[in-house]
Amino acid sequence: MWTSDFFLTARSAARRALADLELNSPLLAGRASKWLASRCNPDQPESYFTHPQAVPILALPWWLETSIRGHVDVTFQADLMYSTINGYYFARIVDDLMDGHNIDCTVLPSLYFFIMKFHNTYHKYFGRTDSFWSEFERLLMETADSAAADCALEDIGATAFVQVSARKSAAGAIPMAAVCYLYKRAELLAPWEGLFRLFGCWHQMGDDLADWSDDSENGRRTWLLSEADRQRSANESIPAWMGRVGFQWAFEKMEGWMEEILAAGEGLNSPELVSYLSQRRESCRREVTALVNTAAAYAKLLQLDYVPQVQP
Amino acid sequence: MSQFQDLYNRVLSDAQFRSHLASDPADALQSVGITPTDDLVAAINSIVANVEEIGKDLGADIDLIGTVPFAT
Repeated sequence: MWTSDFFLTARSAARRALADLELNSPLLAGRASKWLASRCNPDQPESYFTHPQAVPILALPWWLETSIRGHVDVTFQADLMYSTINGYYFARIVDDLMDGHNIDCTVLPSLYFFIMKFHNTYHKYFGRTDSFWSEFERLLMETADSAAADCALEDIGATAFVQVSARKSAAGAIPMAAVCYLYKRAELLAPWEGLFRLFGCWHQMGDDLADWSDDSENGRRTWLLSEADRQRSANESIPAWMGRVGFQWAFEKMEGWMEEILAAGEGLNSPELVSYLSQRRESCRREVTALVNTAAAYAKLLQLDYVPQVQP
Repeated sequence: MSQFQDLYNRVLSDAQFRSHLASDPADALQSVGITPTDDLVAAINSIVANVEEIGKDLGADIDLIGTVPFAT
């Protein structure tokens, strides 16, 4: 899935982020590593960002620069990755807190470091009056505003999902804005951001599908669970609706978005992007089809009422 | 709601219980108040085997319902 140049750059950037924190504050680094260990192997932090099912937030700017220049400036891309990884840690901790996950409060001061590095890295490339900063502010505020709105949503439908839930990742387009502005190709930001926006919908639904049970148990609202409440019959439980309808319903939504994403990707002069998207579509189809089939297999439990329950 | 509707709900929503049902169906059934007759245990084993086959088709030994692997 990844070229060796890309993977080695991502590995270097991910390790540099933690090494810099260690250099600045071994105390914070130790606590942040403990938090990170709940999500990935902190000795291989790059695995989190190069996971086949992750949002390709490090790869999209790489593909974008390649589409413009035919190759990348590795130093620039390494800095983008470094910024993005720090920004991601910041957003992840905030999101974990908002979702009510158990998080050690001694990790929280590391947020100062993460947001500082996320932001400061761009000063190397853009002067204070550069138009890039308008995009930086717009995208970061879109993430903040969406996250604030999302946690207050009670009944989520298509509009709220697309305009709010799936926009929490808007700041992930900031490194794409950096590529566009550095190479004076600001007109490319809209189509790449548009693709990223669609990918956000696709991925958020996949995430909601993966977490439906945990979300339901913890009272977190998603479009999928709102739909379960709208569609299920009076005596039908959420798990029963998921098995009967929900998995397939979510899959069909994802398929629709992926069609749009692929159509958008075709016009971006990036065969690497199109190849990646095709792989994601195929692996998602196999996994969710297996999920639907698994639910159908378990539905045979409902027929066991008719199996004799008294030993002869 | 019948005992088996409860069982189905539990299987779809509880990964630990799914694992328990696969490894020791009689004990898992008893834990939810269902008497584990031989016929029932055989039926459960058949369902679990079917689910495991679906997992093998993916080339992975994974708990499908609990791990549609969307890293976030």
